[in-house]
Amino acid sequence: MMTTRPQRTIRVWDIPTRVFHWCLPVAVIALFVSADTYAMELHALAGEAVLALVLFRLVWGTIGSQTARFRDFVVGPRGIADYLAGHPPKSLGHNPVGAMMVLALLGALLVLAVSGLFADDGIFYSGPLAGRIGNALAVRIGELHATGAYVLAALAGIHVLATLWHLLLRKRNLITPMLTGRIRTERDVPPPAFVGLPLACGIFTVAAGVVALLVHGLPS
Amino acid sequence: MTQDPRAMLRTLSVFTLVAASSLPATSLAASPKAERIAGYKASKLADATIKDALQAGNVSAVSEPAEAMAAFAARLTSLYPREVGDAFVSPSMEAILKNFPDFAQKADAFAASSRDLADRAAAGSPDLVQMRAALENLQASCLACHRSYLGR
Repeated sequence: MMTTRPQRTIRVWDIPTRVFHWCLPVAVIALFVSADTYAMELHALAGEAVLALVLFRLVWGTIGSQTARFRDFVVGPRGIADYLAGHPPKSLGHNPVGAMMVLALLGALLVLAVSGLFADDGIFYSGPLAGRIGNALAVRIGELHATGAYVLAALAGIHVLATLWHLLLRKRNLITPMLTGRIRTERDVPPPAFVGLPLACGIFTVAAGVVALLVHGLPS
Repeated sequence: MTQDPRAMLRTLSVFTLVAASSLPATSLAASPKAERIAGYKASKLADATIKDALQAGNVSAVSEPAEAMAAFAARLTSLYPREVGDAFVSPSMEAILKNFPDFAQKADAFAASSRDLADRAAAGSPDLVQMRAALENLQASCLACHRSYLGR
């Protein structure tokens, strides 16, 4: 006779990771809408916000709470194969396939945010650092930036579809835990370790400062 | 072989522009729409290349991209259809087709200003100040069309 372990509720996502996670789609939607309507001041502002968020996440992924750390959830091909074969993931946070998406999204956002700083559309708008490189190179980067937006849109679409697939077909709700920070699990694992909110605030302040310095502070 | 990245970009842009503007209209590989898109992209890059060259005081580097842009500009109106077909038409294209005489006038201004710049660049001793003014004139023709038909 099979016994079912009792389910318990544990906290897996800290506040900084959740705030980061939900700020990102807001900023990305603002980026696409502003690009489409050519509201370039808003586009630049949203791009700077995304760059600050990504820089924060890269640091938080190194020294932040356990489930936010890359080494907690990023596994090699063998770990991915094991997960796909039905073995439970090591991390209580992102699963190994989700981890790949996290890296892909962060990489795409970083490339787009940095390229936007140097981009020139050749007609009306120049990124804040476009004047530091040649006009032709800035136009080329602008084209890369515009093409990269399609890659980001595709990645974001896959991410949303995967979440819906988990919700509707696997009956695993990944959305609510990203809001509440808590999951119900029957796995007998110790709760993750968390790092304090003040450190996250400090890291984000520094990240935002770095972006502000890059965009507005360097002498031309 | 040149190692200067700007020179490489210039060569690449000229090659792209020449390729885009010299394709025959009947080519199966390049539809008028594809030619238009490639030509506009290459013109944008040619404009930036010319700007770089003039900022560096290198007037000799202006001739090729300016000539290629003038060749594209001269063909521009022929790359547009004259009526809306059944296919999806963007708001910009719809506005162009509705106001084609105005668009053609703006395209003529683009052709004339790019030809002026190309001729000045090809002259025996090009004058940097006059060429900068010619480039501004060319960019104004781009802006006029973008403002009218792209709404920005």
